[in-house]
Amino acid sequence: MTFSLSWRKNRPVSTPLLVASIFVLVVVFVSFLAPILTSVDPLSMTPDARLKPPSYSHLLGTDMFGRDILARVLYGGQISLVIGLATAALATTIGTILGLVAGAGQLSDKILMRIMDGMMAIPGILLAIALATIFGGGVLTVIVALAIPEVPGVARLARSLTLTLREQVFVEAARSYGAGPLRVLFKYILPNALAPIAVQATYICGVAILYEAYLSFVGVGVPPEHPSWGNIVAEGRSFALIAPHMILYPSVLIAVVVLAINLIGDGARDMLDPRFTLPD
Amino acid sequence: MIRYFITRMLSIIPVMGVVTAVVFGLTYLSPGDAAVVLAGDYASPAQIAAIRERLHLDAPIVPQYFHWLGSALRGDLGNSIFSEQPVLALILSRVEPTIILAIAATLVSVIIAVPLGLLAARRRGGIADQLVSFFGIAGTAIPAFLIGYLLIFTFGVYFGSMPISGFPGLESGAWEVLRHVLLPATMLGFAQTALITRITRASAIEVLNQDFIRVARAKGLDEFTIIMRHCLRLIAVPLVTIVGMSFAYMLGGVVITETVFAIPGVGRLLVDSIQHKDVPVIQGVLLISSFLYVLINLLVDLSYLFIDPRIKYT
Repeated sequence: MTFSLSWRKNRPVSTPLLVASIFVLVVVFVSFLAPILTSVDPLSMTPDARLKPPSYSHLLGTDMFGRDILARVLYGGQISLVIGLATAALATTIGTILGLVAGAGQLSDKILMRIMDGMMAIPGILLAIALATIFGGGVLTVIVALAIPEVPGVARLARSLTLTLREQVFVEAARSYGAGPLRVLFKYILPNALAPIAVQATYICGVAILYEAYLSFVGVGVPPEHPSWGNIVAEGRSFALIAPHMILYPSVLIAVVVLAINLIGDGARDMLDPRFTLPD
Repeated sequence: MIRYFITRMLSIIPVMGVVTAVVFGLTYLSPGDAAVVLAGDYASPAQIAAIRERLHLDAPIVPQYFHWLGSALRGDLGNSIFSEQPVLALILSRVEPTIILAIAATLVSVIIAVPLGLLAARRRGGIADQLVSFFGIAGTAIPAFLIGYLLIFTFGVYFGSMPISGFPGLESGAWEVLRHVLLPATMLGFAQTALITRITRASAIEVLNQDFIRVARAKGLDEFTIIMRHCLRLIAVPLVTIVGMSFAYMLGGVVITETVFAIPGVGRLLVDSIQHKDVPVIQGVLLISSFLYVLINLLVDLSYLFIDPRIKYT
């Protein structure tokens, strides 16, 4: 049997993990099925019904152009969730590759980790704001801008996993059978490091959804023609005192979704094999 | 120990080297000519040529970086595209509210978080512990602006007792500053409060399970003395670490807080610069925030030596 960082077998799934997972799945389905669930167009304006509080015809009220906020929140979920997932995927992919390479050699370790240490010194949200400003608006820009500050954290984790794993007997065995350095890294070390990295990816997904909202809030997020949870709130900024519902509902949704994603991360972390403790 | 001091302080240099390289590189990330980016959207060809000349933009990138770094070290971070003022002077003129806000937020979060964490650790498994633990997890998930607007609606509008925007400046007296800073500081420190609560609880649980605490109880010491004299001293190291990290996080968080509460600080300066795509100012804010972050981390590391005499570096 090989030493592995994989999931503990036969461990009951904890209640928070279960509830959070179901909730996130429901949000994902409802967002992507929005065109089926509602016939209201999130972009259609009704000038007569501007900044209306929640009512029977507009369950979450309307915004400053009379657009239905519920429809915008539903469609906005698509963008926000895609940004969360894509940021997590991008940051973990780059971070993992860098971490593996750093963990493999001494020189690459010194150079790469110095660079990562330096990048970690720049406050993440400030770097994301600067990048988003300079690249210019768009969903893809936001994803890249949010992913870059998260890369060093993943790289550090992947590096420490590599350093631990490469001393294990099964890696030694693979090497003695003649496996080259690349084969050892990607065939033996990477698969065994994936579980803790996946946990890290979950947290990044939550942070990205939150930070997307912050980017929109300061005016460098997703352009307003694509509703996202963040830019719905951002548009509500100017009407905070007369139409607080514009800020309240999307913000609460962000909070609950991010909380659920973090709970999934915590639950998954607890299910990691306890024989292995992560090095700092 | 002196050797540790010196090596630790020298370790700033490579880190700041990378930070400056990243910040310098920002101008090259944007599509198009760096001189055009730095000159802004409304510059004349003559202005663009002047910038190219002044920053040696025709030179290869490495000498260019060192030229820029040299100016930065002399305190010349360039001029704002929008207001044409020197970037450093611009940032320094906005620094007062931001620093006060960050310090106040740190104080608020420590004052709330440490007792909460200790309470949860003392009543482990009870209702108080469950509530506090839930706050520790949920607190970091709530968007900062939601906290800000909830505070504004509760204390500013509903009770009508607190100012909800602006910052009066130190010369208007401590009371005025305190009134204006309390709500924004609570907002800025909210996520950090949750984080510090979590760390306090976890560290205190570990300490309270140790033998010397049992001995202290057996001696008949009251719980208050046990917590204050025996527990707090041992959790000081993780606490200082997380408080230092929190302070650094707040350097980023001020952007949102100062926007919600209309405070004319560095965060607000950054938001205004975004609107004008004022790259030199954005670079300056990034550079100074990162430098502060590195300095705080250094202080935190060095403070371990004084907090915990068992830690010895050779």
